[in-house]
Amino acid sequence: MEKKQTPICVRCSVEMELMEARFSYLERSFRHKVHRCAQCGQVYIPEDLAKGQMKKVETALEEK
Amino acid sequence: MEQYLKNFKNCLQKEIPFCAAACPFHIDIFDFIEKMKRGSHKGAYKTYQNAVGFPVIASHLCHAPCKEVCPRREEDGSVELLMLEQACIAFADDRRPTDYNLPMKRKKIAVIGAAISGLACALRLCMKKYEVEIFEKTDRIGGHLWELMDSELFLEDIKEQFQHEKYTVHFNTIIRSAEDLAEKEFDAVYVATGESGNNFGLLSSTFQNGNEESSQTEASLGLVNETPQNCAMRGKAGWFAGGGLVGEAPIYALANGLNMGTVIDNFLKTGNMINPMNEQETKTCLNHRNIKHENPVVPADGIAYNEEEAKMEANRCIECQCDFCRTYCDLTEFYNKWPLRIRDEIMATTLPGSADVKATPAKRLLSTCNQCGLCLETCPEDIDLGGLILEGRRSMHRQKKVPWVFHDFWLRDMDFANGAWASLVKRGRRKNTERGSLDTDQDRKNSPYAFFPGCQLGASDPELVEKTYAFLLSKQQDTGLFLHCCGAPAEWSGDEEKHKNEIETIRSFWEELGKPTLIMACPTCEKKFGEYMTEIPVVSLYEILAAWGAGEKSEKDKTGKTYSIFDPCAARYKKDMKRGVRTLAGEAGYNLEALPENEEFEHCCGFGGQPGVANPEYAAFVAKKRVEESENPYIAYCINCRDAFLEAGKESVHILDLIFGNGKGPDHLATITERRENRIKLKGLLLKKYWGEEMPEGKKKFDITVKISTELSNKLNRERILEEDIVDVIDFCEKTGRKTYLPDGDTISGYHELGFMTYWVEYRKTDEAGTFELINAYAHRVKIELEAVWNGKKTDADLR
Repeated sequence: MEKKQTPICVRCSVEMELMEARFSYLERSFRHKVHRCAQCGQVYIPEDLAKGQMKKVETALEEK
Repeated sequence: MEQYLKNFKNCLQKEIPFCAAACPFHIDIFDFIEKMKRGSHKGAYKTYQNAVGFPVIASHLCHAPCKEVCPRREEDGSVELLMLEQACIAFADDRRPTDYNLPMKRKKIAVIGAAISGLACALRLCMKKYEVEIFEKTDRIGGHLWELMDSELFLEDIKEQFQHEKYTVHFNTIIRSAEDLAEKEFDAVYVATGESGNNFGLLSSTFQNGNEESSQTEASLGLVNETPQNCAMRGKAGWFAGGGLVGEAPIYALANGLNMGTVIDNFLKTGNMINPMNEQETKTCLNHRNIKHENPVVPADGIAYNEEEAKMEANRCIECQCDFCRTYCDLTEFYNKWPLRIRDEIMATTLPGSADVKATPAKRLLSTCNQCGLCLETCPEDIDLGGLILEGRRSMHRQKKVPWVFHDFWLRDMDFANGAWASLVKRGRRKNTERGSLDTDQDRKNSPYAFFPGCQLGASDPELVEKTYAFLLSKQQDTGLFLHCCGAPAEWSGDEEKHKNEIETIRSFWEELGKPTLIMACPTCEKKFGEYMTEIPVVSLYEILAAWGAGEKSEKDKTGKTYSIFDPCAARYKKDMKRGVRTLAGEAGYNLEALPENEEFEHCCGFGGQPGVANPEYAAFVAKKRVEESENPYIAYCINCRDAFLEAGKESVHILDLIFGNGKGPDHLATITERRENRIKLKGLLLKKYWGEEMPEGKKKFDITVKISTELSNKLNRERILEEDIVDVIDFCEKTGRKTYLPDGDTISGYHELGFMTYWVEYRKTDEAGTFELINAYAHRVKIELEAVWNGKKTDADLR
């Protein structure tokens, strides 16, 4: 089984949860569920998300 | 953009090949030969059948005019197209004509004469489902064919081609005048009564007795009926004459008959009596480099090709098409697109309007071009695709539609090179004075030269700039120094305003320097000065070094290898520069072997136009093509070429490596972070050495230290992440406390937005205070919208 990935927000000392966050690129915005601190709202984006799905979105929008 | 679009109208891409123009039937030779090359005889037969109507008859009558124009005729012998056509007839496993299940049209056509032209016209019209009646004065069809070929062959062919069609033949019926047919109310009549047959007055209106001059006079006076030659209205019917009657030899009579079928079809549909000549010309322009010597295939039996031989002969066909752009332009090759299509895509992309309502197919392509100018250089019609692309970038920039990321990296790099840490503009000294002492104003005014190494040479290899400058000073003591970028990144980004400002800055610095002649180390800089700053005199460093004997004094080659000099695209019209480099390499004792392709037309290494972010695959594709041209190590004289080739795994040196360096080039390529440091180092060193000045102290930006392993350093370099940015992000995370513990409980993760990019760091504290160890780093272009309001609390303030 995959190792559980629950980062902890340093300031609030709480486990992050998967929640929606808003992103934008080239004047378009969209929402996606990422790890987020329920108290302060800080997000965490792992490398595989940045290099995977996020990269795909970037490439697609650059051609729009 | 108009000025670039103008010449596209003359593009020769759509021009037909020479053989197709000479062919009576103008066969679609690309289609035919492609099928023959892959052995699809049935497919090739269909193409041939569609073009000639009666394949057996046509292949028998044809005198192969294609062979007279085939460009191979003078090299190794024309392609035997006629024999290939005969081969496709022989080997096609299904020769039945297509049976189109269409309803009959309610139009009637009379064909007078059942010789080959009349039959051909009848066949075309029957296939279009018109009702056709043929009137023949004798008791048999075929006319002259009886004298020209075996009757069994042509009768069989006629029968085969008409097998799905219905038509009527009236034998022994002579039509003497239009009145003879009036009763049947034909909509159109084709008169194919053969040589000296009854022309029903259709030929009398023009060119009587061959007196062209008088008919032209009549035409100029507007006295002639405007009805085109060989056709006229008789009552409600259109009458057309063709074939042997109008003087065509049998093969042309056949082609003419087929053509008239199309003309009559057009007349019946539109009422237009347009009878275009069945002649086609071609303006196609062939690159004779495409012809590689290959002897014609001789059939083993001495008569006809077998299947294998046909395939081999078909493969000799080079499918003549003007393809200079496709041969030389890397962009058209990479995208597998012709300039006309690229033009259309650029037009669509740059059209004002949102991408939601229109297509933007060329957005990435626009930022992919190397701007090497080879398209314009090689196009016989002077089509400047590169110019159109640059104009497209400008248009996109004006509309704020260029994705910032395509050019941002280099614009920031340019700003750094032109900023306080790297740029240096200094007059030279009149005398070899002691360090720290100043020369007089009078001396300064007369400085004839200043060295302009360009922004990348010092970034990649500061020592080469330093040593070159020292040599120049040894020969000309008052040579000034001008460390600056030529503004090319701004030009290539399409930001005209920024580019203009860069040019203005360079111009004012040059004036401050006393308007010296600039000694240019970078061929691209020299090109850009020639394009935008013509009043500034420039000379190539390599020309100067050769003239001042730098090669003679340099360390001689000990490797014994054979090198090839790679001329960069920017050196295309710079004979003196190229000669200078060769002199230097020769004097340094290097064995040289030419790169024939690149010397014919200088290509880009992949760096030009800066497609590295917009299309890294393309930049790698171009570099790979260049390094594969020869197995010899390359001597480059553009630092970007050298670095692009080293990156592609090719042994390469800069000419300055040979003259002033160790002859081997760098042990490792400077990372993007090192490139910045090198520039700072270079400026500091030169300032101190020659002007006795200290580098202005900048405020120390960070209180922390970050340890980065070589492996990570390489990763950051590949992903174009500056190490100073990483320090900046960790500093931010530590100061704001905006960070996350990763599940291992030890590693901290955090992010910060710098410029447009968002950088993520994973790091650990070390035992040393204020020192961190970088574990990983990555970046993305998508912006995380500030967590402005979360659970009713404003939290964006501390993100700034």
